[in-house]
Amino acid sequence: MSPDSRSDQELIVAHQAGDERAFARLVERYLPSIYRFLVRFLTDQQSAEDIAQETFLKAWKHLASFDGDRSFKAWIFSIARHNAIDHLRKHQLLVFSHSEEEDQETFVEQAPDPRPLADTLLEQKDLGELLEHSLRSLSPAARTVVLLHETEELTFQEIAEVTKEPMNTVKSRYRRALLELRRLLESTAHAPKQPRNS
Amino acid sequence: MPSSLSLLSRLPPKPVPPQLLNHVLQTIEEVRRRGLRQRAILSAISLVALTGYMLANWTQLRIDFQASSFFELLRLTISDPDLIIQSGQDFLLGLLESLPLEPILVGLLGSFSAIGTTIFLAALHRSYKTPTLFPSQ
Repeated sequence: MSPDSRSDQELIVAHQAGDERAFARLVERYLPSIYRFLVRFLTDQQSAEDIAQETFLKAWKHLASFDGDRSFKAWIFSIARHNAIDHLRKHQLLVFSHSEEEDQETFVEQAPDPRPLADTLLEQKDLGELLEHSLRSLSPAARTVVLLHETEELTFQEIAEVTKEPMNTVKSRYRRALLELRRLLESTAHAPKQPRNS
Repeated sequence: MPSSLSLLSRLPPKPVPPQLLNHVLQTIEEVRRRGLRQRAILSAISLVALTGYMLANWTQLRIDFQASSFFELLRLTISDPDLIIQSGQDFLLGLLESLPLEPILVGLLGSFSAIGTTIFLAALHRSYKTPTLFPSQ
């Protein structure tokens, strides 16, 4: 399909007026970012494909009553996140960790660590894998905020709409997640290298 | 020196599997068709039921319709309009009381069912001929 220049709101209005192809344009527009978020959140490609399909199906069913003043992007990510967490719960992959308990604490400003990351870390060829592994070690809530802000470029306001939390909570969780990510990466960099099996 | 933030740009890319878009659209198309099929079937069932009821009770429905004073009262609006102006409220109440409800209701419901069945079947036929969510060739 050739790219459609209409805005999300225009496509939603067209869909609500009976143009079903307008919804196909929305799917084409958001499928790459929804899929990318889900595959990094769930770390399983097949599950990400299934949940992406469920997400757009649910969006299609409820789009007729969607309030056009809201952000469609935040709404579709909200559905995707909800479906992903349901999937984790269903498969008992969701563990209530200490990180989740921290989220319940009062908001405290934390300054980012100004020290640069180790050169040994930056030069590692498998840095991408290390990053993925470190992201997996974060709590689902922390992983959500980092992925949505850094890779899917949602604003904190939009993330607050997705997670249905106050913006200060989102920002606080984001800062803690980055500190934790940094700690995980640096501990990996300083860990003794395992001999490779030939 | 890069911070943790720019490091996330080093995450491996995750391209969408080639058939996923079509698969998602086809699934939604099939759910849409299933909804149309269910509505067409329900309309058709109610049409058949109402038609059966009408045929089984045709004589009684016709008698009720013809014996009703509703049309006599309606004729008064042409023959004696002054009478209606003088006693408008009584006339309206009389009109409502004499309304042959059962034949009219059965007729209206049957018409709606027939129209509904036609609309849903036509929409279903169109969706098989030209899938709604996919662009036309």
